[in-house]
Amino acid sequence: MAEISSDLIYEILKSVQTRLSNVESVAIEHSHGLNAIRGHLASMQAEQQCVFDPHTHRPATRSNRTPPRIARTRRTSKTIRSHHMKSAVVVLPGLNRDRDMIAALTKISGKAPVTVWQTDTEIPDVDLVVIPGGFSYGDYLRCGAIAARMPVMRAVAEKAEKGVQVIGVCNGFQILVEAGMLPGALMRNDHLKFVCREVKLRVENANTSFTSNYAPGQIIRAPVAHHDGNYFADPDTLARIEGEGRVLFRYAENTNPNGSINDIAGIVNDRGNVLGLMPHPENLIEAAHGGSDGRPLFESALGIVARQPEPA
Amino acid sequence: MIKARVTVTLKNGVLDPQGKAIEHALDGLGFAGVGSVRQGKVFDIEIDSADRARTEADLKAMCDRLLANTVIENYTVAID
Repeated sequence: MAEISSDLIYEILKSVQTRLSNVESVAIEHSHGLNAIRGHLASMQAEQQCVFDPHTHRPATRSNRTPPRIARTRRTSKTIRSHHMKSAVVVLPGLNRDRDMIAALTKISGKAPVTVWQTDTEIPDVDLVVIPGGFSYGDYLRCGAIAARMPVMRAVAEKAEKGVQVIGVCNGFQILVEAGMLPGALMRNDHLKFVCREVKLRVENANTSFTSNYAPGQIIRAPVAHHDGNYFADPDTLARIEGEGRVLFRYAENTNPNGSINDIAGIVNDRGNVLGLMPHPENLIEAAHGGSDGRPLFESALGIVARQPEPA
Repeated sequence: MIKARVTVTLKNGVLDPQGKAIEHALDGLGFAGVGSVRQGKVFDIEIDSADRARTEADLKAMCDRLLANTVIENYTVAID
């Protein structure tokens, strides 16, 4: 039998210690892995909840960071109604806000919008058609001028004639104006610079299908990003749209970013089913955006009843 | 072959911030007496046709439908 020396005991203890610490580090690794999986699950549940029930979804804040429930088998009739509201997003070369718009409509309506390409001559059966922002055809000739003459715009006009709601945001507004679906023109900003900042808007008319979830005169926040948002119309046209309550949004609190006449930020057509606006409501629809002042616009258009105001 | 020049200009009363900026720049270069500058666009178009009257009508249609935004712009068509 070998002699049990203190050296041997020392070596054995050292080896045991090394193995133990290996086991420990593997255990910690697994624990991290489990935590990561738990995090993924929580975010997936949050996404699911958001998609299936846009009314009760509250983005995580300090006060409600508890993990969302998994079981969501019952839906309210309100929710189901929103599921019937279908939307389409027009995609043209040079647009860059289409993904933001698709994400916003998916979150709010609970259903991904169909996308329609410039050469499409038909738009599927939808309740809302949205032309997002960007720089279609590189703003050649005039902003929106080329896009307005593409085949898809004839299909958009046909939808509008049938009473389908149409929203044009930023370049989408310019395209609607160039297509003659909205009056006036959008000219170079008066200071000649591209403007990218947040402005305040006043809801001038809350009695429309686009603004019914806002209060009349409500001041909302909205991001803008454009070079040609300076709205212009001849005096007769201006008097008509003002007199008919067709200016839905006006830049408020001296935040007119482009020299737009009468501080006009958004207008509707005479029938009230085609809206054009320069600000980007799709970029302010959830807490992660820093606010949700743009959300009621889409909820109004999609016939979704206003939610309770979020706790501050 | 018919060669034509289409000139598109802003209507009177329509604000032209780019023209204003050019006006100030000319002033800065020391050109005295520049009253006002209005910026416009010129399109030189070649059309494979011998029918001048028809071509002129086509060019006007092109202006109305695409080259000019008649809400804010006027146009003139000159054929060589």
